[in-house]
Amino acid sequence: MRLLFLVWGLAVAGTLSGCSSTSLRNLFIPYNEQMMPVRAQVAQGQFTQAAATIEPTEPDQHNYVLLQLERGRAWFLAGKYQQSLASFNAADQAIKADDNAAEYRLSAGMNQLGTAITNDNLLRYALPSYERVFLHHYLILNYLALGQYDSALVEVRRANLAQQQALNEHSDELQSVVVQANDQGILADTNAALNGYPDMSGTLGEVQQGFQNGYTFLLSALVYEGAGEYNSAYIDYKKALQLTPHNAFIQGRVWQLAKQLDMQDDQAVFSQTLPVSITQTTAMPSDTQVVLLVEQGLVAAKQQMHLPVPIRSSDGYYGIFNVALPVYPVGDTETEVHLSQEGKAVALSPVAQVFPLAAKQLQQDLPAILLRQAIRTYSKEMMRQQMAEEGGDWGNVLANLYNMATETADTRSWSLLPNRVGVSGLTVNGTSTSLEIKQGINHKTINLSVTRGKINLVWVSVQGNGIATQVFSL
Amino acid sequence: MKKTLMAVSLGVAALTLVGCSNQISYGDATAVETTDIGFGSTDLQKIAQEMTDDMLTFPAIVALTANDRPVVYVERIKNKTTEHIDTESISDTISTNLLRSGKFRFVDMGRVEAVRQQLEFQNDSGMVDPTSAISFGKQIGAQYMLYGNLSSIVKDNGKKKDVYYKFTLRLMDLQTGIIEWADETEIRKQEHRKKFGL
Repeated sequence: MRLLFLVWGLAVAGTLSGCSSTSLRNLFIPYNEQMMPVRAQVAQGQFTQAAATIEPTEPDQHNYVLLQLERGRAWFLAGKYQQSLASFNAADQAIKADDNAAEYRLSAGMNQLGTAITNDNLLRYALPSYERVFLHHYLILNYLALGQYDSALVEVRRANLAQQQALNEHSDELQSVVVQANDQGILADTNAALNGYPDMSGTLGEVQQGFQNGYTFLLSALVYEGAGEYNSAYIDYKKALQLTPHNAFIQGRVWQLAKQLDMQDDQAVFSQTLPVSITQTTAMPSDTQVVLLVEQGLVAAKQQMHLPVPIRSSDGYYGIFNVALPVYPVGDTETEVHLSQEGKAVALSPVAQVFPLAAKQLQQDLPAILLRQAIRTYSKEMMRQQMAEEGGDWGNVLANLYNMATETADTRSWSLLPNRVGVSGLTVNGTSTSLEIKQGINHKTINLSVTRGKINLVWVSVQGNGIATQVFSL
Repeated sequence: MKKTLMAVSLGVAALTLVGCSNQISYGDATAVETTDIGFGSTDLQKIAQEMTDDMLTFPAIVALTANDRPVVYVERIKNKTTEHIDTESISDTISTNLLRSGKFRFVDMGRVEAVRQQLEFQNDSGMVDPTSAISFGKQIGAQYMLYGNLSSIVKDNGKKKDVYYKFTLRLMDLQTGIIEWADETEIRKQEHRKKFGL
């Protein structure tokens, strides 16, 4: 029965092998806690320092893609577009390699096995669909910043493809975990457990699927419009409108393009559904468009909570286990951003909220996470009992300490994404204007120069004291 | 028992060492390349070859080039796919093939700025003998414009991926605006995701 100790030791060693302090840190410290200093730096406007703090290590590490995404976004905020592009491209390459890899991989199986008595944090990070779309989104912005419009258009099409593929994707992960639990004769009462889980329905709002993102559709439409591909632009404006039917800016663009492209059936429908202020406008469309895109705050980080889960096994064992689970804090505490152009208030129309996308994703993943965690907790408990029998008090204490320390929820998600995004059309006479941005006690004035005869995309990102801006002329 | 242990150890050692050194070798530049489903050298060569062959045998073009070597400029090949493809490389291959056929001559718009700098140096720097300096305004204008599109349709359900490429190329008479020649070529590629792997 020393064998059991040996197996336990080997499993732990196997899990931690190859590695390093990084793996150890991931095993015992939840991701949200690790990212706290970086998020604080971003909120202080120390974007370069934040980017330098993030170390994505090697492509075979389980958090590589996630950390490249975090770093890419931090570099982007810092205005270091080459570095940002390099980080996003590195993430893109790693994702491509994963997409092309075999469906069932020995290494993935070993990785799963390694986490049987540790936690989900040592699994390879599975990029949710909405984050994949945002990867292409920031690649688009990077290419625009670097003046590579053709490449930006390629990413626009890839973003569309990602949104489309996500629609067809059906997660079969839950099914495989259910089979695993049945094989081991474990019956976890997940329904009873989920009664104690916070109700996220309030935060989910009108999100239909966990990937739809009006911000990316709007950006695609603007880039297409800048490239003179009005038909493609019109389609993406319409998709954005479906997601945000009350957005005045998008309503205006859809109506203008429907008229320009002579979409008579659509015009008949829109004249009934869109507000009169949009359809009866007498203002002539200008050849110089100034579009203000404002990203506000950082998406909430997942937190860790403990939930009691009743578990029964086929050999008659019954117990209630305290299982660590990821959860999003309920309630939006973000301070409103106020903008004004040359003293005149600018009204922003919301185009996307990232938090509901993230919360929806977690809601979809939760049953599988809970069941996997239940299986793991049960296995750990069985091991503790065996070790207590074989190793007496010491065995018991050792196993208990280990089990407590490794009961950590997987709180990984792309945590430097913005929380909310708003859009507004600005009227600029001449080639320059000034914009005042105010959030709480933070205040900044920026001067903008616009190019006549073009679409000028004024991108503003506000996180507390950290304000970043960039003008892209399309 | 000892022998078995030794054999196992040797086996493990051999497995560990296999693939330890990178192997480098030369291959045939025109060999079929199927490393992945993305746009590759075989696609580029296929497109360039088919386009050049079709253009040089098209009756109107044969008549056009019977007694003359028309001057052409390549506008650009627009990349409308979902991949970052160097379409300049495709147009380079096509224009090189056409030039080497002896039927066409080309002007290179990508080098206009460099030429301007050189002519300014020759004429204005005072370092070049004026009698040997090439003067401005002597270049020959292009009569035809070559331009095209590369588009794709991608379908992927996680197990099977299908990519369809369509390449369209056109030759326009700059004076009349008439398209003298056009052709398109299609490529379809499929990839099945393997079930098991390391």
